[in-house]
Amino acid sequence: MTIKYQHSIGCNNTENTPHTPFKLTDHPEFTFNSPVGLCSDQYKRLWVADTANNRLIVLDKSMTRVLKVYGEPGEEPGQFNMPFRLLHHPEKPLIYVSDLANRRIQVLQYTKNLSIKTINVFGNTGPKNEHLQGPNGLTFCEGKLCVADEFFVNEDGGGRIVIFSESGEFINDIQTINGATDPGLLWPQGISSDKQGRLYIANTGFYNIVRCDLSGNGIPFSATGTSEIEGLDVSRDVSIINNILYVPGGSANHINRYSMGGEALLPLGEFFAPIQVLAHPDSKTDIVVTDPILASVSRYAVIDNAPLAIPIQIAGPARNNPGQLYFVTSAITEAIRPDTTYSTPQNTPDTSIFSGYKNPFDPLNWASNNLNFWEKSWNFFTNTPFNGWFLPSPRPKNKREDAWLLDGANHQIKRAPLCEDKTKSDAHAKAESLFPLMPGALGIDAFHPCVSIPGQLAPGTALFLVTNYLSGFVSVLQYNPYLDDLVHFSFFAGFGSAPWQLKNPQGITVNDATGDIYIADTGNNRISHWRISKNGIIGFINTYGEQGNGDGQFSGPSDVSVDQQDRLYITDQMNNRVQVLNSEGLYLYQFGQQGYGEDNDNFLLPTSIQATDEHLFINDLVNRSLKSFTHEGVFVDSFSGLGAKPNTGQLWMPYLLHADNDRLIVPDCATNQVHIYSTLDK
Amino acid sequence: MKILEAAIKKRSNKLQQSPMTPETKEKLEQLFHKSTTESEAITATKELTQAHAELHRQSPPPIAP
Repeated sequence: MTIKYQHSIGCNNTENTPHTPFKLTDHPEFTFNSPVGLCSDQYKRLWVADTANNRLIVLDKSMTRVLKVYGEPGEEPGQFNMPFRLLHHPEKPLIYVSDLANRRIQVLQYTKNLSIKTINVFGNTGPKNEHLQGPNGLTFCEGKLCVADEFFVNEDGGGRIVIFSESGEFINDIQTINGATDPGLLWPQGISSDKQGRLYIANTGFYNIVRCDLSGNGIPFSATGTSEIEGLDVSRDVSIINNILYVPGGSANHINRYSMGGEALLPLGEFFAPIQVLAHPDSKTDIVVTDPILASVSRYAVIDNAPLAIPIQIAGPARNNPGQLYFVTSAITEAIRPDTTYSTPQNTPDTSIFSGYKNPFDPLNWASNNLNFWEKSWNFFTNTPFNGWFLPSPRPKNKREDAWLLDGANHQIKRAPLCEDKTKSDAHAKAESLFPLMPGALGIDAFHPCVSIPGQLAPGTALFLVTNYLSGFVSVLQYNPYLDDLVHFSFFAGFGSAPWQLKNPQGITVNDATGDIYIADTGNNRISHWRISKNGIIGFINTYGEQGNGDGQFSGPSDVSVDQQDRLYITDQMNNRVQVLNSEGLYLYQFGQQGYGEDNDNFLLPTSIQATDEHLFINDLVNRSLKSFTHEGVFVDSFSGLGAKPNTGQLWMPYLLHADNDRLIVPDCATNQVHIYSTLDK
Repeated sequence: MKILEAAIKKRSNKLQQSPMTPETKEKLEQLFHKSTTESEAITATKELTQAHAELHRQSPPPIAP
């Protein structure tokens, strides 16, 4: 069996870019795609790395007009693969671009009228130890260019900072920080410097900011006594603005701020996923912030002692063009029969699903009940002991099969036809919009009852179950053949840590044969088990697991899948392993361990898993590798590669994958495309 | 791979602890409290918001070079 890229779904409209200059309001179809880097030039214009679109955008200082668009996907000078951070030379009209997936730096010499005079490329030539492996953050320090080489790995597993002359000659690198608390650098992303020649490094793998000189000697902060600022949720970047350190995302939805001595200042709130902060070139107080997930570049005013920055201008129209995806997180394939008929509900289910009982979601009532309640209620509602009412429903043959895509930031499930000829490329497949979802919708799976469930408008079609990361609810949707749309059917769970609640759930799977529903209850470090009856009643069964790294314990379980033998496969994300349980939650076995590797059973943040008849497919996030295994955990094959080059299947932030017996579907929530790979036998 | 192992261990410890040290948390709570009780800061925020809104309304569209 081999994993081979076929095609992708999701358009980005880059082929329809208007002639520059133009007003953003005149062209709402012009959108960013996971923008990251920012810098300003000598004419107070803003340069934005439109990273997943592999181009640079130049905005005027008001951020209402696009003045120029540079670049396209590729490996030639002036072409990019994930242009990430931007840096302006301290004096000369030069823009430095970390061309991350091409593993090089490009330097663009621009003119006042925004033509490019020269392009210098370096970082990918010379002795092998000088080659960049994943250039990210950039800063000038004492006339030298310092590059955070995020994906460099030394023999100890650590990363590095590479120091070049301004024209690109390799000078040296920093792999350890002398006197630092942590043993080295790991996945350093952001970097900044001050006028005293001190470097500030967003040391992502260690969740801190570390300060050192150009020789790698740690320089303690007066507030911490060490050369680190600790306590960050995420450390992706650090900027120095008006003698204040800005750390975007240091706390969830915030930009953390620190004095130059490392003292915590009031963070700025109300952000979503900020990744870079820049001083606005025409203001002493305003900042400009990129947010890749929101696909926006925004200007804010900052005032002393206020916990919020005040939005002034947001560039980045919503990504809601036809066929466009916006933080796509999960996908399934499903065939809805074109001749599906409407069924008048004869016995509409009580979608509150708990009719006849006091609300068990009320903690006071819950306290008086116990977990057996649900088994009893199952028997009550169905008037029969549970013994497996559902048989696998044969998927319709010779019917159009669609990919159903959870388009999170457009709050929709979208549908795209799949080619019947699975070897044929269909890169231009456009998704069509369907049902609006609540913000936070994340995972999806389909349930195929073999008998009509009362109240189902189109008997014989699947029910769609959608987890919501923010609310903890699971929505159950059904197909309405009149509307050709998905509509409400039921819901269950809710946010919290009580047994029947979910906290930041992600992946979900349903056993068609039994109606058992399993949810990766990530925030509670457990698997949540529910069951849907033949009457459409959804009842809670049990939870499995707790925080830890022992057998049957979890640390951030992110996805779950069930096979034909009713075994549960769980990506135990922070423990970097896969655990296998039986259908009642008893531990069976595990495989995998932390480590780099594209073609073995090492994992770094395994994020998603799907069992097919013969294989397991796993999204190994940090290794940017889609791996297949036998059910027992023996490695079979993989497809790997970091990047955003179209029509290659390259990966940036792959999320909850879906597999059937001859196809693998992988949504990438950063490139906003859904990649389809064949998984046929050799 | 000792650096990777150290980072994983740090992550594991972090998951079992508050993301902030008690000192940092206390400091931030003080700052939040201060910012939400100082009427001057709130007034300044509102005034600045209004000023920016008015400025934005009056500004002519920028001209591209």
